Amino acid sequence: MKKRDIWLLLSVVGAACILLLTAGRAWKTGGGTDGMGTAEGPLYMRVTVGGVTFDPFVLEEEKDFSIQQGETMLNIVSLSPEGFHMAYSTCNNQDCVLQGEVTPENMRARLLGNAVVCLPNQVVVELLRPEEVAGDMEG
Amino acid sequence: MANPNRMDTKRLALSSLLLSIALVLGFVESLIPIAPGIPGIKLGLSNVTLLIALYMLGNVNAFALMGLKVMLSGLLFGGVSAMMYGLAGGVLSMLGMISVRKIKGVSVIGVSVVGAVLHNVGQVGLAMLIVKLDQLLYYMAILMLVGVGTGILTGTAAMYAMRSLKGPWAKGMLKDD
Repeated sequence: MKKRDIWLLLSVVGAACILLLTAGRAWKTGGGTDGMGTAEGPLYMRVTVGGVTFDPFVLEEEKDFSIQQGETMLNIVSLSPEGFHMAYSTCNNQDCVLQGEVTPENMRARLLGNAVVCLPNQVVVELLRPEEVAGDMEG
Repeated sequence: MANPNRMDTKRLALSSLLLSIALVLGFVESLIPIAPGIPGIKLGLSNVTLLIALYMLGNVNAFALMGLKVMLSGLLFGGVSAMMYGLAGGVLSMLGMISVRKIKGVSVIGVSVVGAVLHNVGQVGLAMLIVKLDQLLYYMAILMLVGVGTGILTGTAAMYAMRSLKGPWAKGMLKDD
């Protein structure tokens, strides 16, 4: 590795760290995962399909929630009052199924925080606390 | 004097060989779960072949190879969505590698790191345009750091592969000759 390579690597790492700090801070102070575990009241789930965001709804009981697009694209989200996970997807890579469960307790440790993303089917499912839902409605 | 037709045949053979290797490596790495559940984290082994193409066959051949690799692996393994994300990452990565290669004193490892990082940036950038999720910016930063590690790995592999490939048989065929 040459001297200029090392400068190049340091520049990339520096840019990534700046992005990590600014994006992480903006996300966590802008309604992300911060303080989620202390939230009072029921949790909500918000679904975005193909760029269209639907109104959040309360997670009250254990049940499966299907998101069907056309005849070939299907996502099934398994819900409970404590959170959710993507139980089934017709996508090729199955990354959304492997992203696991989202609960108030594990969101800080998850790379995608409060969301499960299925890129091939363009589906985003997010776990929200009551304050965030109230903020959304006012906005 | 070398027969130009013979050289073209050699270049075509090397291009085809690199494309086949890229497809196989792409498939093999899909079987290696280095971070299950975290989309986009891969070793990027097929970038080794693109680096070899860039250094030994030139920009146009390398770009064509990238396009064919994305298209064929999409048709064979990943589907339309993988093709779309692969193309976004691939085009940005190739443009970055071609630009950085012009800088004096930057080795194949530096070029590889830029390629790996920009590949991730291109893919997550397209995902951000499609799903509009703030968390993806944070995720992009993580993937940039991962790209530095995988870029060093693939760059080193490409460096050793090219040392072996630049034998007497390749004389007159290589871009730098």
